[in-house]
Amino acid sequence: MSSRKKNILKVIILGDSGVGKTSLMHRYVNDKYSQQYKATIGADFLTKEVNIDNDKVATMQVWDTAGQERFQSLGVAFYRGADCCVLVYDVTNTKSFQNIKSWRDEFLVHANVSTPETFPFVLLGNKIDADDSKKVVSNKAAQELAASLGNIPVFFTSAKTAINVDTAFQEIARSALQQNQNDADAFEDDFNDAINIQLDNDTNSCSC
Amino acid sequence: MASILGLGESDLTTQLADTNRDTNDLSFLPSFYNDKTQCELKSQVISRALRKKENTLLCALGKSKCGFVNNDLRQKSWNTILNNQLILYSSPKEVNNTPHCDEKQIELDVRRSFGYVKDEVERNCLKKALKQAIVTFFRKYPTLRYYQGYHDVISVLVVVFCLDPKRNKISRNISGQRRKILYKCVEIFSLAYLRDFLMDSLDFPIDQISVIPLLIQDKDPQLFQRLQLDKQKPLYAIASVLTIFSHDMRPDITGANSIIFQIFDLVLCTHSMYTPLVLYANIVLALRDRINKEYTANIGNFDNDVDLVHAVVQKVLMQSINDEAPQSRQLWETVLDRTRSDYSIDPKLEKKACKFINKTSPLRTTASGRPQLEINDGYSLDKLIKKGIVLNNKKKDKVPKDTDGQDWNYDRLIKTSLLVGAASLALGACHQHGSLLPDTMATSHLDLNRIASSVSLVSDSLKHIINSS
Repeated sequence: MSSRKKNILKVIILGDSGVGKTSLMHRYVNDKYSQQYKATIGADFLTKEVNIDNDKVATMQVWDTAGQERFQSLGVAFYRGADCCVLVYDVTNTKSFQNIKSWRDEFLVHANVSTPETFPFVLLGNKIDADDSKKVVSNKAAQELAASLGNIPVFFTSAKTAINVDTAFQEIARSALQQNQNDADAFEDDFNDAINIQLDNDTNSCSC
Repeated sequence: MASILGLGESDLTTQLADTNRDTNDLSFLPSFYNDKTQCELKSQVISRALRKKENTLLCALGKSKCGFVNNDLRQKSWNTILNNQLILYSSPKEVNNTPHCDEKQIELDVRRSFGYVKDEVERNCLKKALKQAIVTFFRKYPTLRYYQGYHDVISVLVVVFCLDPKRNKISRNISGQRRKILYKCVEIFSLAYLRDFLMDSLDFPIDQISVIPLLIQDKDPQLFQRLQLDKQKPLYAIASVLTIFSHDMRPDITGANSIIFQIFDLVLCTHSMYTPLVLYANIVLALRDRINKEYTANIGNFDNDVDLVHAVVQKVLMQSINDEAPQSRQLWETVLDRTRSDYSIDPKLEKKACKFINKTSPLRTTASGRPQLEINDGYSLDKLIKKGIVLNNKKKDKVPKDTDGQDWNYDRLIKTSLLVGAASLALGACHQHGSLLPDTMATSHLDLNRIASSVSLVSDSLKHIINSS
C-alpha cells in the first residue's frame, strides 16, 4: 500500500520526552508557540503544504510521537512508510542528546526502510534560546554525532523564538521528497521488471 | 423537607431509589422543571443519600443525568464510593521517602499541566497538589510505573478535591485533612481502575482498547468493515482510554459541571473500566458520518491503513471536543446519556473479550462492573494467580514473538499486579486485628467474617508470590 500516496511526505519526529517535539511541529505548521502543550500520548499528526526549492509542491504529514520510553513500542506502529526521520534533543539536557543514537537505531529496526544506509535523518538541537549557562551540549559534539551517523544535517533551533525552524524543515522536506522519489523509482523499476517478465513469458509462449 | 416546587426530598428519593426505574430518567419530575431546577433538586437528594449513607442510591444518582451536579457534592460522593469500592488502610509507617524511578518524568509532566489556569497562584497550587498526590502514590507502590497521561487523570481528581465550595474557586491552601482524602482517593482509583495502565508494559492497556472494535462491530458492522477495524490495533483510542478522556478535555476550574467530571462520575458509579470503552465506541458511532466522509476524502493521502484510521478518527473526535459550538457539547451530552442508559456489556461480547483480557485485569476483577471488591466474593487469589499464569503462557505460545518489537513479559507483570492487589488486601485484612475506620463500619455490604477468613488466603498468596518471584 505504500505506493498509494502521491506528493505526501511522511515525516516522523522522535526524541526524549520534553525536548520540544510538539512545539517544533506547531511552530512549523502553525507558526505558533505555547507553554501549554500537553504531553503527547500515542501519536498526533499535522499537515502542511510545502513548496520545495520553488519547484515542487507537496503535503508534509508530520507525525509527533510520545517521548516516554514506555510508549516506544506503540510509536513504532507509525514508523512505517516514513520519508524522513527527525531526531530531536534538548541542548540543556545531556541525556536527551545521548539517547539520539538509540532513537535512530530503534527507528531503523522497526521502520522497515528499503535502504537503511541512505535513509534521511535530520538532527535538531532544540531550545537554543535558553541561557548559555544552561546549555550543556556543545554544537561541536552535535556536529560530531551527526557526522558519525552518516553525515546527517544538523540544525540548532528554538521552537519558542522560531530560530532555524523553517530552515530545518525546508531541509527535512527536501530530504523527504528525495527519499519519496527514490522509493517511487524503485517501485516503478520493480513494476517494469514484473511487466518485462510477463512480456518475456508471453513471447516464449508464442514461440511454442 | 418539602421543596417549594411541591415535591419533597424524600418523595424524590423514593422515585430515584426505585431500582426498576431507568436511572437516567427524571421524567417523573413535572415537565415545567428546567435543567437548573432539576439539578437543584438532585443536589438535595445527593446530600441526603450521603447523609444517610445510602450507597446504592448514591451510585444511581451519579450515573443519571448531570452526574453529581457540582464539585462540592462530587468530592464527597467520590470519596464515599471509592472507599466502599476497595478497602484500604493507611498508617504513617507506610510513608516511603525513597524517590520512585519515574519521578523525573512526573516532574516534567506536572510542569506542563494546568497551562490553561490563568491565575498563577491557583495554577501553582494545583501543580503542587498534583505532584504531591502522584509522588505519594508511586513512592507507596514502587513496583508500579508512571505513564504519561496518568497525570491528566489525577488532575481531574485534584481539581475536584481542591475546590473551595464556599468561594466556588480553587483553594489556595488545601488543608491537611483534604489532602489525605485526596491521596486516598487517588490510591484507590489507581489500584482499582488504572492498574492495567500502571504495569511495566503497554500490552495490558492495548488488550483493554481491543474491546472497542468489538463494540463497534456489534452496533455497526458496516462501519467496522469499512474501516477494517479487525486488521489493526485500535491505537487511535489509546490517549482517550488511558486518560479516561481527560487528555482531550480539561477539567474546568470555574466550578462548572463539565462533561469530563460527569464521565468520571459514570465510571465510578458503574464500577467499571468497560465504561470508557463503551463511551468511546458510542462517540465513534455518533460521529460515523463525519468519519466516513473523512475516510473517503483521505484514502489516498496516507501511507497505510493504520495511519489513515488513526488520523481520521483522532481528527474527527478532537474536532467534536474542541468545537465550542453548542451542537458539539450537545453531541457529547447525548452520547453520555446513551452510555448512561446502556453501559452494560453484552455477555457474548464479554466472553469474547475475556479471551484476550488478562484474568488479573481490573476489567475482570476490581472494575468489572460489580460493585463489590473481590475480597467479598470469596474468590480465591491463589487460584487466580495460577490460572493467570497458565493463561498467559498459553497466550505467549500462540502469539508470534516480537510482532512489533513488544516484550510480552507477562509473568513478571502478573506477579507485580497480584503483589499489589494482595498487598492492599493484606493491609485491609491485617487491620482486622486493630480498629476499623468508621466509614468502613458503615458500609452495609461489608461482610466482616469473610474478610477475616481471607486473612489466611491473602498471606498464603503473598508467600506464593514471594517464593515464585
